[in-house]
Amino acid sequence: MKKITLLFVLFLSNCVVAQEISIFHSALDSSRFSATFFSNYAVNSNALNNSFYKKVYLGGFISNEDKALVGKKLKNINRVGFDVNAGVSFSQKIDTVFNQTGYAYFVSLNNCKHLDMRFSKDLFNVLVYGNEPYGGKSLSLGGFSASYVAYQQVQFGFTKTVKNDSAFTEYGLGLSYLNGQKNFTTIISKANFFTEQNGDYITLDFAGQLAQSDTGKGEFGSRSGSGFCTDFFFHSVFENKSELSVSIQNLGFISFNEKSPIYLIDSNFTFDGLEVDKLLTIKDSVLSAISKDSIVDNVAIHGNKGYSYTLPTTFTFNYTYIIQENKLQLTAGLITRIQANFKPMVYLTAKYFVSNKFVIIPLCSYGGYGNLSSGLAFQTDMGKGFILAAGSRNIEGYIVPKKTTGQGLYFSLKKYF
Amino acid sequence: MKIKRSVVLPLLLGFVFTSCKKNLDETNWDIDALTPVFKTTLNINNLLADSLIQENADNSLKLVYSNRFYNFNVDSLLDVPDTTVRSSFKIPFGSINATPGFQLFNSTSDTKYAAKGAALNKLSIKSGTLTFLIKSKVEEKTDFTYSIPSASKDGIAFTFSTNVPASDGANDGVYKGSFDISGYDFDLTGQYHNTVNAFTTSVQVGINPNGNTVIITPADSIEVFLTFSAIVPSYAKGYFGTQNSSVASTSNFDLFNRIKAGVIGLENTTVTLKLTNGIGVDATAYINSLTSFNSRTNTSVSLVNNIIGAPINVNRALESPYTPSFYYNVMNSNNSNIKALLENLPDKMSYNIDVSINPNGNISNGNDFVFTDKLIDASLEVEMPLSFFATKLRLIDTVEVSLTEQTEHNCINSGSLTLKVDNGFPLEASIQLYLLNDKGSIYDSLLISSLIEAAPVDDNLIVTAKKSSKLVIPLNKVKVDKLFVTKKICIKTIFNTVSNPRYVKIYSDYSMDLKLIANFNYNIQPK
Repeated sequence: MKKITLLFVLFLSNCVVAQEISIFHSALDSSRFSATFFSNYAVNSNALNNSFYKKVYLGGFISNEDKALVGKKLKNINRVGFDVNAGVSFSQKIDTVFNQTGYAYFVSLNNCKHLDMRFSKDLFNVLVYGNEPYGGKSLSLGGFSASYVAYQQVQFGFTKTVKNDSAFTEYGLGLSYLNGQKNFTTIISKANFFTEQNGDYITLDFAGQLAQSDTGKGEFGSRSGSGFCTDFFFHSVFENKSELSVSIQNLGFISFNEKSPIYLIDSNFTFDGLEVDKLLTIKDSVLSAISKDSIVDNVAIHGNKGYSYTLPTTFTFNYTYIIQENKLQLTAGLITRIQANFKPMVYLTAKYFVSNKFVIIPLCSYGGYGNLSSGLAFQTDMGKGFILAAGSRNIEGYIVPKKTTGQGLYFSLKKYF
Repeated sequence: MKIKRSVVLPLLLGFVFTSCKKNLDETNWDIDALTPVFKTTLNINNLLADSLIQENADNSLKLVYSNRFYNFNVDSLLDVPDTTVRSSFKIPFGSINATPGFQLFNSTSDTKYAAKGAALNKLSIKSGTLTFLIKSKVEEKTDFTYSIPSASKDGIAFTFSTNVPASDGANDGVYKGSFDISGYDFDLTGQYHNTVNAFTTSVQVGINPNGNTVIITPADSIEVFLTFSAIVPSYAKGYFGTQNSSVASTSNFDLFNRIKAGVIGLENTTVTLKLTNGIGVDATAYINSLTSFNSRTNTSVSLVNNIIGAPINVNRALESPYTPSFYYNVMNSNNSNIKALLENLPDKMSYNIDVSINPNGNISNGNDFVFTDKLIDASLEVEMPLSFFATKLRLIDTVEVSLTEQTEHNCINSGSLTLKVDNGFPLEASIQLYLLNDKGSIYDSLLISSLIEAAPVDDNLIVTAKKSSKLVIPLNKVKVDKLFVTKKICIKTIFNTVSNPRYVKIYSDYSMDLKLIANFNYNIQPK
């Protein structure tokens, strides 16, 4: 039984290291019940470094040195992604269903946050340095997209395991109800920005749209939208013990309610100063004429209406090859995510069994929101049915934060009954 | 125990992962922002009130300004003092057995009003109060009705009724009451319309119908004290008498109020002395002196013109239709020193004027009239082509500002404001801004080192093109903070015309384009 349990942990590690924590595969365990708690966060970019994240998220002054370090990595188009997830799950094997064996069901409750952003080099520069250094130059701020979503997930699903003498195949399906807590989505297809060298005028040729969920809500657990998603899983262990797995996660959407502000803008602005009739009556009321609200009223088509947000859907493929049974195995995989600025990521893990209760897993990957990353994870059988897994797929982010662009931690604790 | 730790640890870690508090409030960075703020175009109408500017046929402009320096005081014409009139009512002899409802007195008479020096036959009250004090020795409650048939408002005569308490034998029964008589018109010709300064009153006194029978003797009198107080007339008619008044005083002259120093040369200035007689009386005025006084330089220039000391007869105004009477005396460089008087840049005018009313007596046969808001005044009507030269002409103006709600100023670290000026006036100017506190004291200044350069002119001193200048106002955080909390800004401007001492004309199409551009190092604090 312990061996099977450890195999389960090893397989789970594939998913974890691949940033995808799944509650499938419960059939690998000989226990009847299992309960899991997991949590992870990950942030990565091909430009922004860990020092920058820290100051943005935890507060602090972003110095010119910080800006310059990011500037060195900036490409014409840059991306950043951020995920935070936590949840609990429960699974139970079922003896027979319609006279069939090998079934199990599972339920889970998850809290998920996801940020996905794409931005140009010019946009970053004008945001962090201001427009004055770029007076007289045309800046391309378009090609920008950003979406943030926070939701709670209630998932129910089943798995089916088909075994023969030396191999088995497992597949499963999960269906989820999603409580849409908060969303912000913007796409700026065009934003050509020009500041006259002496500040005489500013022009912005702009086309974009913005949708935001009900601004009266947004706290944890509040519902500004509802949605559904499905997860699929297929896993096969061959006679030579090598394994192939494929999964699709978060294929679905959230519909946000009718109170969601929507803005559509396609305009060419030139601002050469607020026209003042009475020069000597410069008061708040005059300056307020250039307030955000008045500008929006003038240039945007806006109103409140419902809209649908398509979840970033993750596809995972991996293949595991046993080099030395119960000692060392290699897994190569590919993860890609649609509806996101996520580049296909390839990864390679090596699992080394220090003992039959403790495994360490080094990792390297390339792609995703960032570039080359390295990670390290471990799993351990703590006895009495407790399995603990923890690690990071961007271990370098904690060692050289100014030079690296990703960080993340995960852990899970599973109890078998 | 081991199990418990194993459970608690991931739960804690999970909590940290998902609830790690983001703190955008403390995230901040500096940017260099460059943006236009506002723009405006100033022409002469923006610099001077529209009412002061008139356009000539050749598009040149002239400044027209009126300064009323003398107002005739209505009190010197029509004095309506507080007045108390006493009336007493009693039976002459014997006694009366007065039953309830018995009428004791019913009297109509004329009451004289003391109008000093005037014989009035009409008086309209703008505001005032009529107070009654009634003392009764009758030992029963009486009903008292008092009316003034010759005083009416909207066609209704003044009347009032009251109960006067009974005397207890030792103390009189007393009633006291006040009435607003604003808007009442008084006919002061008496009940037979053959006298002046007299109004008709009517009194009825009777035993209250609910009272008891009482014996009335000559000792049982009723006294009425009628007091007119704080009477302000709006109109009067009659004969106001022959009156002389002499006034020596100083009035403000605010045409040059903003000019605090410098020299100005004016071309072809014309000033008309205008006397307006809005009263229905003949008047003769003597302007003994008229002096412009510049309190900043402590210099004065007295008017030299043949009008000084000479009698000025101004006919009476006509009542129907109402038409005031005017007297004009035009003064220019040929007949007076009026140009020097104005070039003194006065802020005050001092004068000594004698006015005689009805110098020929009652020639109107008692038909003098006055509307108290239409009297006699004297003014200077200045008509001055905007053709002048100026040397270091210093103008100071104070403007109210209110930027306190713009809290984002706290984020400005340093920077500058650039005032871009395209000047279409043939004047060069330097500007200095001073920040004033609530008490009007200067507590900081904004230095502007550059000049607004004058527009180039042709041989006729007509502007040929606009001239661009940039005025940079450096700001640090301290000055920015002060700028946004200040309530007033004092603007000091020093002007020079080109080609001094030749006169430069200002035309209606001259203008100045201004644009303010901000260049700030700004601390972004996303929230």
